[in-house]
Amino acid sequence: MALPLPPNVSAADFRSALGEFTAAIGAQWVFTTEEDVMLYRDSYSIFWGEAEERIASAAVAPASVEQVQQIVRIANKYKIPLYSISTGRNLTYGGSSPTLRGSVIVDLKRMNKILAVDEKRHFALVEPGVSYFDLYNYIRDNKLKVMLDIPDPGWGSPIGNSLDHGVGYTFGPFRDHFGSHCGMEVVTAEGEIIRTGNGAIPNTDAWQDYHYGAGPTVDGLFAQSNFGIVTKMGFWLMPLPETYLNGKVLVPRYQDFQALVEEVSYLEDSFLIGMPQFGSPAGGALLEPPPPELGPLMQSGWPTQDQIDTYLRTTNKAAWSVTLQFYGPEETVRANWSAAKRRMAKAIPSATFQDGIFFPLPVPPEAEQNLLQPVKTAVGIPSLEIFFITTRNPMTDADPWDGHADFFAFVPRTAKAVHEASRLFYDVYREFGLPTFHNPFFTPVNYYSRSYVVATLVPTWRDPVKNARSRELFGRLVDRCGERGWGSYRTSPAFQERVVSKYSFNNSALLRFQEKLKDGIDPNGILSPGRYGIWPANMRRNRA
Amino acid sequence: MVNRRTLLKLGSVGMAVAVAQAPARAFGSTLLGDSTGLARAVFDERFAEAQAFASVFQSRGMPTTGIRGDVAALWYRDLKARLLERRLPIVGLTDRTALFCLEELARDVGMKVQGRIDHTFDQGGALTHQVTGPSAWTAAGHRLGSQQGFGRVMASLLTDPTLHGESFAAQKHTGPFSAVDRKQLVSWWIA
Ligand SMILES: Cc1cc2nc3c(=O)[nH]c(=O)nc-3n(C[C@H](O)[C@H](O)[C@H](O)COP(=O)(O)OP(=O)(O)OC[C@H]3O[C@@H](n4cnc5c(N)ncnc54)[C@H](O)[C@@H]3O)c2cc1C
Repeated sequence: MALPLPPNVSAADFRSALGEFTAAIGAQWVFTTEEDVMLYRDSYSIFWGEAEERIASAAVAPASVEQVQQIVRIANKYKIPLYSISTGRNLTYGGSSPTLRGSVIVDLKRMNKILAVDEKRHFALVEPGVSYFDLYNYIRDNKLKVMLDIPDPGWGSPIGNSLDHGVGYTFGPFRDHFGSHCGMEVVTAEGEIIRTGNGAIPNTDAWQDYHYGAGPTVDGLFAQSNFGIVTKMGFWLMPLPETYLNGKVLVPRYQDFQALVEEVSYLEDSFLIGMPQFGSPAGGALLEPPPPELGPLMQSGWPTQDQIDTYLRTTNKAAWSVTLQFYGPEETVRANWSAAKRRMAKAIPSATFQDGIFFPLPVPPEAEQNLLQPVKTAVGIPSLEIFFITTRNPMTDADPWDGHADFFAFVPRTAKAVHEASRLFYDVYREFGLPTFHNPFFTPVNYYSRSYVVATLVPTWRDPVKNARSRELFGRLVDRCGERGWGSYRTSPAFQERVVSKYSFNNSALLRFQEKLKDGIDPNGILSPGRYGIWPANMRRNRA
Repeated sequence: MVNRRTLLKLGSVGMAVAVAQAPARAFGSTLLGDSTGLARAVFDERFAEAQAFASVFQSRGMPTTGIRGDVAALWYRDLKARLLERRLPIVGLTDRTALFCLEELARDVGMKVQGRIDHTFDQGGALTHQVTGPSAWTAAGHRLGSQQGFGRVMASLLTDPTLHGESFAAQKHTGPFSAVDRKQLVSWWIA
């Protein structure tokens, strides 16, 4: 497969630009051969091998902010589209491939310094190439008393992950990775360096202590967008808790899910628990095929309430469960678990409780490997285990997938919304004649503490025919959820315009505003054109 | 960036032997002799074939590391720094997921999957091999047959310089998924 040229750029100009990139950062760090550039191919691409696959034209790997500035200036001169990545592991959301085919990847992997980890003020300041593993190992090796909130898999980077609104698994404020950042340094499309928050004060020693600075906050403009290349970012960290404890609540009655949701939300919003993990003993584990006994229940379509109740009586399994996680001194975690049980027992008299595990933190290095998931992730220990858990999956049995495109609908924290969304997903899969793990016992994921995610993983393949079907399925899910008023928090370039099109209030006033900003900030449209539907004026094909 | 240089380096450690046809001879003393030609042989210690693969490297004093699925500790605590310092090939016999992860990680040090042979045991235990890589590998792969014991043969194959060449086909050939009802292992070479 030949590498594409950047759109609207002549071969001669492209050659000149590559020559200037080479002069700026060294030939070793300008990648132009097919086998080098194809390393940035999205392994999970839903357009694999098709004309619309987002293939880069070249890649550059600068080592410093100054080199990033030089690259941006050269790109402006030749109107070359750039696409910046930090660690570039955004699998399911585009991997390391650009939104616009023919863009030049700016791979920031060489900018990999941990600039500060402060265990007294609880923050870190890092460059884009620092992975969660790097930061974790640094904290552990230096015995620093802070805990990371990590996403799965751990090979991503705090900067890349948070700039795509990535999420983790501990306490609410830290699970929101962009929300827990404090201060960034950005190279703009004109090649200027700006610092946000307190960082705009020269020689400040309080950059990671106050995030707003004075005047309008612009940080949000640099996430899921194309307004700048972020070269440093600060993150607030949780002080290392003294201990971790978990316990499980089991709820027999289907109808008590709302009461459970309310109690969990109370605990979560009062900062008494970390990430709640919902489950359904009667319905099976999340993202796994339903237990065999559920087959007859689902045989004639979505069951009635009576059928569900009968099913629960015969299987004698609890309808719902939630694992609550507590972090802090032993006295407080035990007291919080007691308080949670007391409140739950009052709200749901038939609820029962199981004490889980308790251990002091940090986990000694030699004990880490004995810690099972999801607890390992819940105490901030990065791994790649998620691949080993999810990739031998009965759902993919006969015909293993090559990847997946995740669709996460964000719904209100109510039982009604969760059931309705699960039903919507189920119906869409049935329209396509595909098996689905959505059933009346489907449970939400609470990544962002104030909303629920009802999730599905749409398979991707090396096979264009199967991919076409997956694309149609994905698109239908986006549309149906959009009609219902539910959006998706994040998606791959293949669906970004479609997802953004659902945020259309007042004739897409929000997108039009973002486009005006784009025109002013990046008049040549060189930075990540098309990301999240924001196209430069000369490529704005999405609207009249 | 092209790997002719690294190939030659790897090539210099051994001699051309039709290993698949004559595995016993392939373990001869001149093969695998120079531990500087290879950064690491990686094997998943959960699988007998991978253990056999490793034993060949170990018996020659070659740098060998066992994993149990997750390659993170190996990569972040060891290989990445070494390969950044000196880019030498790594080879392995693992499951597909481990290769997938290493392939993605290898980009950070400018290395690529050059060849792979996927070994699939179906439910009845029958074994098939699918070769993706330099053309010389295809012939060697066909000679692997359906007998177990391919781990040792692969160890020899991976050090045979005549079988190496450049191939783009093996790059990002599959995702990390495997069928639950089949055992899917893969021998690979990253340079
Ligand atoms: C099995 C599986 C489980 C997953 N689980 C999770 C999970 O629990 N939580 C989660 O959040 N994700 C999850 N992911 C998705 C993804 O793997 C992670 O979010 C990963 O951290 C993203 O890759 P990265 O950190 O390398 O970011 P990158 O790929 O480097 O960046 C992501 C995007 O942000 C932009 N960007 C990056 N750096 C810059 C910069 N310096 N300046 C401007 N723009 C930039 C680019 O558009 C880039 O494409 C999962 C994926 C898989 C396959």
